Amino acid sequence: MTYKKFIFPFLFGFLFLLQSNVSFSQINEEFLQHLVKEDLKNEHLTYLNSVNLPADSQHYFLAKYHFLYFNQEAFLEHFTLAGEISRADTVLLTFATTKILGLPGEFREKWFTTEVPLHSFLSSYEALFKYAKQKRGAFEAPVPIALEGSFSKHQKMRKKSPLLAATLSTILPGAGKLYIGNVRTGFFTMFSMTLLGLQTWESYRLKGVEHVLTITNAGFFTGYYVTNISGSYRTTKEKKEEFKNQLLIDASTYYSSLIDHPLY
Amino acid sequence: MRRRIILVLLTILSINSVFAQSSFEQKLLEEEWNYFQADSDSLRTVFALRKTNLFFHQNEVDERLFYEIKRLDNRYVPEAQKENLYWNVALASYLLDERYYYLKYANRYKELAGSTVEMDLLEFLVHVKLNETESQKMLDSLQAKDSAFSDLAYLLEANNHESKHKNLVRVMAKIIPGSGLLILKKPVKGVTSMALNTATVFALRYLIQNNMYVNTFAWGMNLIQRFYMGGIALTEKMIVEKEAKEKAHLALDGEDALLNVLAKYPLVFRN
Repeated sequence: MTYKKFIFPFLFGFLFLLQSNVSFSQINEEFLQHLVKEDLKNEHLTYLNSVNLPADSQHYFLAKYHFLYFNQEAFLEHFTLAGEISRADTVLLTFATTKILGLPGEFREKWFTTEVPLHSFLSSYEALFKYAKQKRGAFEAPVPIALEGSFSKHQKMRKKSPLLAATLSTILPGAGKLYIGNVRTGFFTMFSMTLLGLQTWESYRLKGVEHVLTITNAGFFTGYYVTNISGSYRTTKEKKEEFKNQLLIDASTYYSSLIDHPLY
Repeated sequence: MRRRIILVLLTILSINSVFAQSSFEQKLLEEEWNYFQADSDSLRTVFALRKTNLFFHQNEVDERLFYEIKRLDNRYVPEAQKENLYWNVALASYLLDERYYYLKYANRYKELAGSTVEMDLLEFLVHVKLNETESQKMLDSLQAKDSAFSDLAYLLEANNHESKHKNLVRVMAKIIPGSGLLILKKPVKGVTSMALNTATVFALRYLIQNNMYVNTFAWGMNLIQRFYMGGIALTEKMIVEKEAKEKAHLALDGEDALLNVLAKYPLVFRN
């Protein structure tokens, strides 16, 4: 008669299991490709969560999913949790590295310092990343024709010194901006500084040094002069960073177009 | 005994949930699996239609719905389901502002079911933002059917409302700086703008009288840009804000009127 004690909990548990979602026993590659082709993002994720897979395999498929519908944090998390399975997929690694190459920020830094050095077949991307970051040194491998423009612009800009730009702006306002190639801004700064200088000189000549107009004009002149020096320094740094990122974005687009294996 | 009663109740509740619908996303996946396995266009349409209907049953319309609609082959949609499908898609298109799908499916619905009050109301709501003449015609036709629709005129007014004298305000702001703001009942801003522009004129006059031509040019460029042009821009901003406030007020009245109408003629997805 003791079975009566268990009959309700058993029935309850059985029905609870029945009401849970329908699950798939294993990944059907063709169905997965169909979901990717049809761009069914939500169904794709529901499918991955419904398949009964070992944890590392599930993380591997989720890493691929988050790479496809790019969510960098989730991708990195599942890629790491999948361990060796994701690291054995050279196609995924190549896709990820080319894509991440064009993404400015900490994520790229982390990927290229922790993950890329572990795989020798990614050494060319690593070399490009290191070259773009360095202040000096040449790019050892031949430069693809499609990237010659970006390489040339980056090479010119990486030689520019923020300190030299600031010094030139100190000697001749606007010269620092001309030095980094901002011609219009450079000439505008020269014109503005000349005008401010002339109006200060005019008020000094006609009203004297202690007149409120001379003091105001001189204040504006000094303020603009100093701001322009710091501006030249900051703009040079920003432009160097911008050209570096542009080279890596162009390289990312170019190398992505060369991958001949599909992700799925 | 009490324990047994609780267990029986729990069991009944869980039986209820077993036979209740599984999650929406899971159902979409199941139908997609069926779609994937289907070996003919007619079968694929059946499963795409089932997926489409899931969105309507769930009252959940988003861009994914239109992806399913794209996959429907109209030739294989069962005749009995066509009317509801066309209505539902037209309504969803209105809700998601998908004009192309709206026109396509509203026309199909009208061909099949003719002109209904609900359809006329939906047409009015779609056109109210786009075409004043057309929506006025629709409103007249709706009013002929039921006087309850007359208050919907607020919606039409809200979309086509323009502030009175706004061009006069613009011209005045250019002729006498600050006067436009005064007309718009912004006395502090208006008087400040007038004072700053007057001060600019006096300052420039002083510079010219003292033969300070470089200063006149430099300060003139700076101050006129800042106060005169700035005053015009501020007036324009205030005109837009005033018009938006008036429109919002009318729209609220319109929404109240629409709620009353919807209580009588509900626009809902049909199962």
